[in-house]
Amino acid sequence: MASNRLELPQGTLDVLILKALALGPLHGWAVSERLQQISVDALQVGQGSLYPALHRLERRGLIRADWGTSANNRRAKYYQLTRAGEKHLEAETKLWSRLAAVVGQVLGTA
Amino acid sequence: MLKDLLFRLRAIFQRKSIESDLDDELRSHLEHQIDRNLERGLSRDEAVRRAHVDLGGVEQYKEECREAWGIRVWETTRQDVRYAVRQLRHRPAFTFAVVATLALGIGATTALFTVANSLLLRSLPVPNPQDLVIIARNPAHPSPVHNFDDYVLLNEQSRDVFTGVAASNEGNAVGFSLVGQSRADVPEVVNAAFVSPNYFEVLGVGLSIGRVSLGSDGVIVSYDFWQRRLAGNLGVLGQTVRLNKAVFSVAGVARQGFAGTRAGSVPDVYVPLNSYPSVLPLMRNHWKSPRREWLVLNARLKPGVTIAQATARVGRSLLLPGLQGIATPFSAPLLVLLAASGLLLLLACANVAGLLLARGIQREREIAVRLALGASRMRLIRQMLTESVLLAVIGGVIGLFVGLSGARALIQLLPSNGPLPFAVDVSADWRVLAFALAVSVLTGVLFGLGPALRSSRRDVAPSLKPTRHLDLRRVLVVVQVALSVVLLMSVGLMVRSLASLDAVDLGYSRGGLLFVYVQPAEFGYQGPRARQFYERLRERAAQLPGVMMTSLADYAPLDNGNDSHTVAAPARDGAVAAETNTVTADYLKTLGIPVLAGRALNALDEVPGAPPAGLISEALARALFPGENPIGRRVSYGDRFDAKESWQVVGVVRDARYFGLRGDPTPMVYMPADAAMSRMVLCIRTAGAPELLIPAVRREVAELDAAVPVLEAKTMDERVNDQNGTERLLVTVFGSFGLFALVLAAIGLHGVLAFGVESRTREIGIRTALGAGRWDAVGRVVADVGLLFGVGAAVGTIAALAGTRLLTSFLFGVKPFDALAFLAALGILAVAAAVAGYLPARRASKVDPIVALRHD
Repeated sequence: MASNRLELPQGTLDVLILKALALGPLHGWAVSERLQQISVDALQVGQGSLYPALHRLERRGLIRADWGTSANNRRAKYYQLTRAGEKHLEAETKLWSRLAAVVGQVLGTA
Repeated sequence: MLKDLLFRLRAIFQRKSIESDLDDELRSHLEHQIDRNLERGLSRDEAVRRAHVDLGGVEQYKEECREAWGIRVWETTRQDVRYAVRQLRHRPAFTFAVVATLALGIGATTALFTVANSLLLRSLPVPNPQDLVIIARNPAHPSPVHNFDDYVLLNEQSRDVFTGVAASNEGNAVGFSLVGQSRADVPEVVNAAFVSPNYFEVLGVGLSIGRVSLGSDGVIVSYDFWQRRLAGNLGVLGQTVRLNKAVFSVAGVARQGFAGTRAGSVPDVYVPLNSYPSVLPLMRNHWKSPRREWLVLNARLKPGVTIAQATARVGRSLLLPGLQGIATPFSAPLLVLLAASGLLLLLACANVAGLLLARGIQREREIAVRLALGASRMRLIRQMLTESVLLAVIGGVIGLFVGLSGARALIQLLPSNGPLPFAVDVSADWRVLAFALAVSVLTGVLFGLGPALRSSRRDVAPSLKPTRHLDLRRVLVVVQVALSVVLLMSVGLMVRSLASLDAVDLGYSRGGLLFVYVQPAEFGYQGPRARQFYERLRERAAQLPGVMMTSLADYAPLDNGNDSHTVAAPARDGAVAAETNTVTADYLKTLGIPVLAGRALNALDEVPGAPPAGLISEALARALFPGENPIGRRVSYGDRFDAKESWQVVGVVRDARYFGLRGDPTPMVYMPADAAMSRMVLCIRTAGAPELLIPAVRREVAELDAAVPVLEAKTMDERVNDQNGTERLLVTVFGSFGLFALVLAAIGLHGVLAFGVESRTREIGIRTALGAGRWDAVGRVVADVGLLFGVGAAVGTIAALAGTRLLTSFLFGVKPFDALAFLAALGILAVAAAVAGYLPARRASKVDPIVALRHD
């Protein structure tokens, strides 16, 4: 099973987290759940490695954190996109699509 | 950028709450995962276990989060410091040795820097010191002192460039007493500064209490003097005080920390300049004389006026007020000593580096394990450097205190001039603190870097080859030996110089002489009454037990008091410059200056109307009457012989040194004293120790007139020592440096030798077992000592040859490369090396082959 999963290329985790948060505020655990849902378990994201990434994004001012209460009534730290985060996600998405298209084209023609 | 910094700072300062925040967050994650796992129907235990597995290594992620907060550098430094503190506490003996060595090394450097800072670098503690200048006489004579007329002239001429010109003359010894006390207040000798009325305004120095403008009868006392003598009493304003015979009222107290404008002198009382003749009546006819250059002129530039403009306007050169005058004679020896203390610090560094290396060897296993476990080399080096810098900073803090008390002791060694002690403020300022800190950190890196690089090498295996470590240690020992040679040679040279100075033929005998200075003329004894006072005092002193002879003179040898004239003889072209001392009959006998030909002066010569007669010294006799008998010849003062004014040479006396110990003795004339002399020195020859006589003499003066203070009472020995002040200072400081260097070098040598024997115990054991004699091992240690000592001595000698040239100007009667000083330095060092080698050699000779082979 593990061999079917994709290792994340360097730096892409940040974009994926931003994407997961684009739909609304989430706490850490929920981000990992969301990522697995969206990618239909195809991506291997270590749950723990999410947190350094979240803190990194917070320090860069792309997301913002507040403590709140989760659906099953537990205290949780919710992250949400800031304006800068939204812009960043948009730019990164465009960049990624172009990159994917170009790489795909190169690989397809070979 | 700013946001990022704020984030980091918040992370550092709210560290606790952020950490617990992270813990909460991770716990919340686990709880959610456990909930999910339970929903999936796992057992409670399994749900918890899986949640933990999925989250992964929490500590690693926490560490990554911390990194994400940007506080890693801070964090590791903190860890390193904590680790270093733990390491040092575990080895108190090692820590003590290193800290003590560093404290002394850094202390020595800091002491010298503090003194140099106080005398040479520090600017006056006044507002905007950069606007303050000292007016020098003229480019050809950049002397900062002026006569009275010049002051008046400059004051008027420079109104458009200076806000004011303040004249001052500091360092006058005057008798101070309070008026209106119930008991008779015995006058105390204090340092009086005569200052122009605008002195405090020009300098910009405010008062603690009172008014700044000096009236003609108001004085301002220094803060320290107010505290010490006037008990810090706020009611002191208006208090009547007596300075010598003149009466003043206290108008104010100067700001704390203000110590006048001259280095080496700290005024107690600031007196209006125009009261000068009433305080010092002897100067009444001289103070405005154009020949008397005595006033220092401090001026403050008007806003917007540059020094160049002001220079052009007044036509004099302008000096920046460092601490001119007195600083110059001390700057050269201080710089030499500062360099010497640098050598000492270097030696201390080499010594400590040796100790660290030795410890690095002990820690080899620990370091090897940590490297094997994946610690990065940079991290280990950083950690070890943290340790050495920590050691250096602890050493530096202690060194700062050592240095400050050392600076105070050093100031005591600086020779005083006249009755007032050499005084200067040697408290620490930001420069001293910055210097000590910089020196500490630099030292820490300097002695820590080598050992850190050495013991953190990647090749973990050769812990079996300690010899390579020893190489660096051996080099360090050679450095220590070499530096000791340089310092010890300097000590030797200075000791030899001082011995030569002490051996200088003074022309009089040093021992058993006391000179007492009182000035009754400043306390109301006018005309012949002053001379009578002296005579009565002399008679009283002659009655004191142990006193053999007494006399009075215009001035005593090494007084710097002088009376220069030229002396001319009839049959000779040109006159000879000579100094004249006016003395009573027994003066020559009191001092032990022998009469070589003719007769001495006697009481009859003093009688008014007696035929004018005088004595001349050998040097003057040779110059005036080469190859002839001078007795009975007539000479006169002036550039040409004048028969009417002439006097007869009745005797020739031995040359005596009046003006310093170097060079040729000055030609002297001795003339009989007369009844009008108002300022004299009492000379006493005693059979016992002259200093023991001082209290009795003071009592006699007080009985004659309690209002007349003894300005100074000094033995001839003290006066000669004052002359050698610089040399004595150098000998004392170099001597203590040399001793410290010797001990350090011996310790370093011992460490290396002991380590050598220890690491070769096995080898020695095998050799002994194979039949080598006991002396074989000892011989190797001795050879080792010889090698280290020999190389060190050779390097040191070469360095000393270059270095001792700096001392040339302080040497007397000895060359910079003196065989005796050199051999003595090497001899002392050889003895130290032998002592250092003794224990290791003994240990080597006692190696038991059986025990040694079981070793390890």
